[in-house]
Amino acid sequence: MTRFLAGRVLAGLITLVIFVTILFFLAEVIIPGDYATQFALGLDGAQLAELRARLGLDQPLLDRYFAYMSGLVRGDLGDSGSGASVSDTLKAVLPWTLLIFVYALAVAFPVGYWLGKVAGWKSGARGSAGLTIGSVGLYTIFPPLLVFLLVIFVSGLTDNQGMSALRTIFNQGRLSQDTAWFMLWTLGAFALGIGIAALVRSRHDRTLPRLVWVPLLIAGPFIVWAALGMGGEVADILAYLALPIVAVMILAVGEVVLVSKSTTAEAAHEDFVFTARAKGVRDKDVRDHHVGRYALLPTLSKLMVSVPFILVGLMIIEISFAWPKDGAFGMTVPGMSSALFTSLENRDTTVVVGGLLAVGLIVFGTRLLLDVLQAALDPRIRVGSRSH
Amino acid sequence: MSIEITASADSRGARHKARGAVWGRFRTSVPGMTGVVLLSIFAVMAVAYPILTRTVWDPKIYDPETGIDMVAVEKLYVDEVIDPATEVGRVDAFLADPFAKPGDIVEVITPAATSLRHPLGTDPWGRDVLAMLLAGASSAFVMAIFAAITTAVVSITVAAIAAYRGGWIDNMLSNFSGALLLLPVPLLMIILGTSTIQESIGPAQFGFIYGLLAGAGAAAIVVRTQAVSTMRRPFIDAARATGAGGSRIVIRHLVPHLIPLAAVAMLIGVTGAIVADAFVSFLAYGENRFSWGVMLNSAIRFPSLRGLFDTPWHVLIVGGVAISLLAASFYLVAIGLHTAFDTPKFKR
Repeated sequence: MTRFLAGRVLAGLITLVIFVTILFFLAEVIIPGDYATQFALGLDGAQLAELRARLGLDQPLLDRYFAYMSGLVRGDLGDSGSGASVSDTLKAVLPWTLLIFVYALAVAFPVGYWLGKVAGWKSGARGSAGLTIGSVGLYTIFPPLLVFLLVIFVSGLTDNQGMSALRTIFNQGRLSQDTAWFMLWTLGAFALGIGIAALVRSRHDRTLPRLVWVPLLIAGPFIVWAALGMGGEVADILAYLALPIVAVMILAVGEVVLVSKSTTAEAAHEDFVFTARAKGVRDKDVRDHHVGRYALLPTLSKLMVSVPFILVGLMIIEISFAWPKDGAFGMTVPGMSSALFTSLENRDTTVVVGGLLAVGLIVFGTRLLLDVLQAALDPRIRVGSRSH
Repeated sequence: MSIEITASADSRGARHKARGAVWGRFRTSVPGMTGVVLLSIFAVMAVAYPILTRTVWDPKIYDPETGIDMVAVEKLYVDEVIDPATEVGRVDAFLADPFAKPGDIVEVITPAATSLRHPLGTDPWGRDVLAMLLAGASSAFVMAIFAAITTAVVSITVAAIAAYRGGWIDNMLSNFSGALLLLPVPLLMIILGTSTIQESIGPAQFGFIYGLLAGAGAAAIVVRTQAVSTMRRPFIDAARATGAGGSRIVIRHLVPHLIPLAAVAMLIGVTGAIVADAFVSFLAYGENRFSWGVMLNSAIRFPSLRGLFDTPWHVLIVGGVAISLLAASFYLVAIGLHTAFDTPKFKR
């Protein structure tokens, strides 16, 4: 397992270097002008040249690339045009995006997987085609429309008070960045702890009972937060992020259903299914224990491809909540996309590259996680890496 | 020589039969057929727009961007001082007449309901909704077709080269695709679309760039896996043994086996392109082309000026459902193709 993990991480590092290289030059090509362009009307030529020299924008592209890469190795993402460090900017926006991402996927994955399994098992039935078409509809729904409908729904439900209550949370500065980071660390620690416990038990060919780890994973973090006296802050954050989380969840669940349904339907024709049925195993048990377990692996590997698209959906949803800026219902989600698109307007290439790098890292991290999960669930990979 | 001719004629007949079988299986797939029906409807809409504007529709009224028809007008009493610099106050009155003073009565266009002149009504700026729907269909169709063809061609090319040459070329291409996969293409296209404010890119260019990035990234990875396993199959060795050259093996023997998978990958990729394209125009960028996103833009901006429950629902739903349905129909066809190809006979 360690060997397997090390190999994946090394291969991933090479991919990341190529990724940053593509990103750096692509940003240079597609973003017209540079940070100084926005001041072109207010400053004269000499002042503009001085500003460019101060920001290092007058250097040749290759020199800037090598300077950026050497900074990156030291963990320095460079400075934005206004002088703020890019890593500080990202540190302020990342926890919100990550919290939405984690919570939305934590609901969408199990729900979508189960729905897809049930529909794939009865893939000939009429309701099954309906579920497929419905899932495609959820997957392709235009995010701004979804966001608008959610806002209208909440406003109607709460007699126009809901959105203003959320705005109050934001305006009073009750969204603590440190708490959000702490929430993420707690969630990560719980997931890691349960993962290790499951792995240790699986070495002795035992599994962790679902009745133990599911409640622990769901309720455990909340107990920790409440015990540390952070209950109020956490409640504020979760209430504020609830709408984006629901929106991303709706978007992601369709995709998971589609993937899980097609893999289950394929697995339903395998020989071992006939054997199990011939033995007289109950239909539901064949579906859950024989086919479900077998189809879990291809489901995970196919979902790796979907992760970037779910992330794009998440960022579009973030912008949509804040749109239009002067809107009566605009709700600022202080996440990744706000930093990315503000810096895009200012032609602040360093922040754009840093932001896209963060997006790439989230995708990379999620795929690594799914990879590890897949390896842990697949006896062939587990045994193969042990015998090496 | 004569043997080769009969052999190729035979294989052509077999291929023809296989094609019939694929269509036969495709027809049984409800999602696939739903997608085909939806796509045909959109295709008719896309063709109808240029015909209608050139024959019956007066561009002054029916142009999707600049057309205006003051069907429904609301008289507004301006009760507040309007500051054009900050746009505070009755913004809608200000938009109708920048020189309005308190006490004036201003005429403001409001969205109109269905009428004979405007079968789907008009939007908050007096534009015909049906014209916008049809115009959006032709622009989205051009974009989608360019995106689809580019994705398929690029992914097949990259995958075939990687699988045929193998070694360091395969390694390099795979790493490149893996790196591109970390960068969500729709996000990049949104960045590209929003950063080129001066000279926005047209639908064909948008589709082409999307296809280039998606084809070399996610699609190439999927197709490459298939290409590598195809290269290991006995008929490739057989072709080599008969003395077939590299280009012949790739074009005649390898590529036909990649087309089904590339088709599925490209149709699913187009889904993202349509949403990204609509989102760029939703954010009110991309000014020299029209897309359905503009409809949602006007439909959502209007209630933000007037109050949340003043939404022009006909504009919002028509635009939103059109984007969703076009994207969905490509995805549904992909599902149908997947079921048609993915049978034991084809897996072998």
